[in-house]
Amino acid sequence: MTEPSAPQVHGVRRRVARFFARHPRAALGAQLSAPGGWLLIIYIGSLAALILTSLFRLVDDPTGLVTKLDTSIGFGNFDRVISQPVYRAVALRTLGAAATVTVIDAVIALPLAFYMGKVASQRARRMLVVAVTLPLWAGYLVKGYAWRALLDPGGGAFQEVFGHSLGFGYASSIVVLAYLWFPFMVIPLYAGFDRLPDSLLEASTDLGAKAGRTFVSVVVPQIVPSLVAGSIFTFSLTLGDFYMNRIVGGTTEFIGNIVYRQFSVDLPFAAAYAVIPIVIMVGLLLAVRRTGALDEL
Amino acid sequence: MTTPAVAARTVTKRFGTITAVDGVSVEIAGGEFFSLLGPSGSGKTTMLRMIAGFELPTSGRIELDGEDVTRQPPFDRDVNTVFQDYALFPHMNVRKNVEYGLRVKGVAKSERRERAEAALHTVRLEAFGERKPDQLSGGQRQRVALARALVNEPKVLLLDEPLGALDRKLREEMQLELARIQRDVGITFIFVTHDQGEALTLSSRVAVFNAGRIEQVGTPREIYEAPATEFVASFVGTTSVIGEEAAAALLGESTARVLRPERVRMATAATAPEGCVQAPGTVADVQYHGDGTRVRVEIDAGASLVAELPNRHEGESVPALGDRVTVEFDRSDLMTLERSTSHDQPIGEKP
Repeated sequence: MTEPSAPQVHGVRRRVARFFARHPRAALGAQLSAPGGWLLIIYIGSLAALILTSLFRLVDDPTGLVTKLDTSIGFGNFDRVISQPVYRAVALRTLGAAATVTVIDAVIALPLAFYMGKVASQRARRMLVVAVTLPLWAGYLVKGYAWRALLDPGGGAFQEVFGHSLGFGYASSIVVLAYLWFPFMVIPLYAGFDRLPDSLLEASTDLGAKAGRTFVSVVVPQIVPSLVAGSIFTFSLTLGDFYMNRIVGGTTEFIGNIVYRQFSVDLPFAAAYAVIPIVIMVGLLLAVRRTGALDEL
Repeated sequence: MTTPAVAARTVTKRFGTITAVDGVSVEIAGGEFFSLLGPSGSGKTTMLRMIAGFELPTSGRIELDGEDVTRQPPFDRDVNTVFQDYALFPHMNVRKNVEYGLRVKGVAKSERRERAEAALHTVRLEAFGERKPDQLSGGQRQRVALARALVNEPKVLLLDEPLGALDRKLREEMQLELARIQRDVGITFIFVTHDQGEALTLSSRVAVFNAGRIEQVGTPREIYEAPATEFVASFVGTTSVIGEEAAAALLGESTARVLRPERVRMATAATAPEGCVQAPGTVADVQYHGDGTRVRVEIDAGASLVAELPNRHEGESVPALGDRVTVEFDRSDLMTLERSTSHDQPIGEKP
């Protein structure tokens, strides 16, 4: 043989290929090991670390000068989260903001997405998709400080032009967050409307239904999965946000702000407080799943 | 003549620079099974959509029972449509789909139930009321769409290629079913199809569409046996055209004539019998298709004649490619076209 090594390599590769061909489960395992490992270690791992940390507590050294981490398991942190009115209020405020942002985005996005998906010409559609997603190209902080410049009660654009500004506070946080997460509501809804066959709308009209009836009886039920998808985005993004408050929120604090502040002071408590949005999201997803809306995603 | 159930009066529809329907006038009587037949893009579906109210004619009028409905929205017209893709509401079960039109009109629940049951009975789907559309086969969905339209007892039922998505066997079953239902309910059916066999089988009358115009309106027999134009002759069934020069050489008259393949046979006698014409030629193509063999013969007089030879006897000789043969046909089977296309002499009155 002129090239003795070639058949050797060929033989090994062949054997490996043959092994995987005969053992489809092993092949599947090999394929999934990288993404599976990533999911397990980085994602679930960090979540487990968070939950574990939330069960520890800090104790003062007898000298009172240093604090030590007590790694015995207990629910003291959660007790504090629930029993102290401040923390309860912040959690409820964040929840309220997430719900309000979601409703605002849905109300504005529904007609726009309907126009984009069902009425506009192909050209106008493309332009609208670009227009809606364009803000995503700008950085978070850029948008935050741009809004700060608009809202500033002492000489911001709104103050100068309209003589009135929302100023910095809860309402401003909600407005800016609704602006920030708007594309995440519009795009799934647009995709939903785009998928909705024209013939369904025509059939409804043909059977005697006027526009309002068709919207309620045919369009909405078909668009619910998209609405749920968009809502999960806007809701969870708002729930986890904390920095926009520092830019336009004045003294308003969300869950994230508390976690951020406590992180360096009392890590186990910060961890316990961070578990709250996770619990809320899990609860929400379970509730949504019950309605069957996730089946069609 | 009594008031037609549906009438189009010089209806034209333009989409930008494209004229989809070009000055079409047609009258359809009550209780007819009327087909709009034509190739895709010939304007038949646009015509149907204008009757349904989904498209507004650029000019002209649509009348239902003599009443001008051109500008009436679909929900005000006493017309229902069976869509090509069925357009069943996926989130409603079969019964709710069928009841939809009645629910919208505010019919009481018990009556709604009853009429939906009756409509499902008509299409033989009584047992499927609780199923969702995605749990049905194509043929069943088709019948649900039919029931959903019929339950409203419209004056006219519009069907847009309703059998297009079905396989051949199911298609033939549904054709019989459609014909039976139309007889039973007695509603005027307007049926859009590109399948000439379907149109001939089902219809009481057929309008043949080409390039936005009607080439011919007539009974299936008239359309097939006396096609008015070359387009109709070639679109409905296969035809051989004997051009003017060939006709002069072969028939002694210089008028173009057309001939159906089943009227052409292989000559058996050496000389043409009384009333027959014989034409020698060369076999140019042979197609076997089960119940017959289709042979194309380039005749010496300068035309291409297709002969449909039944496969009757085993061992019967079938001509082979390149053979010299003589074909024969009755003079009386020759058809004369009134005009080459409708564009020389449109059927619709000029606005």
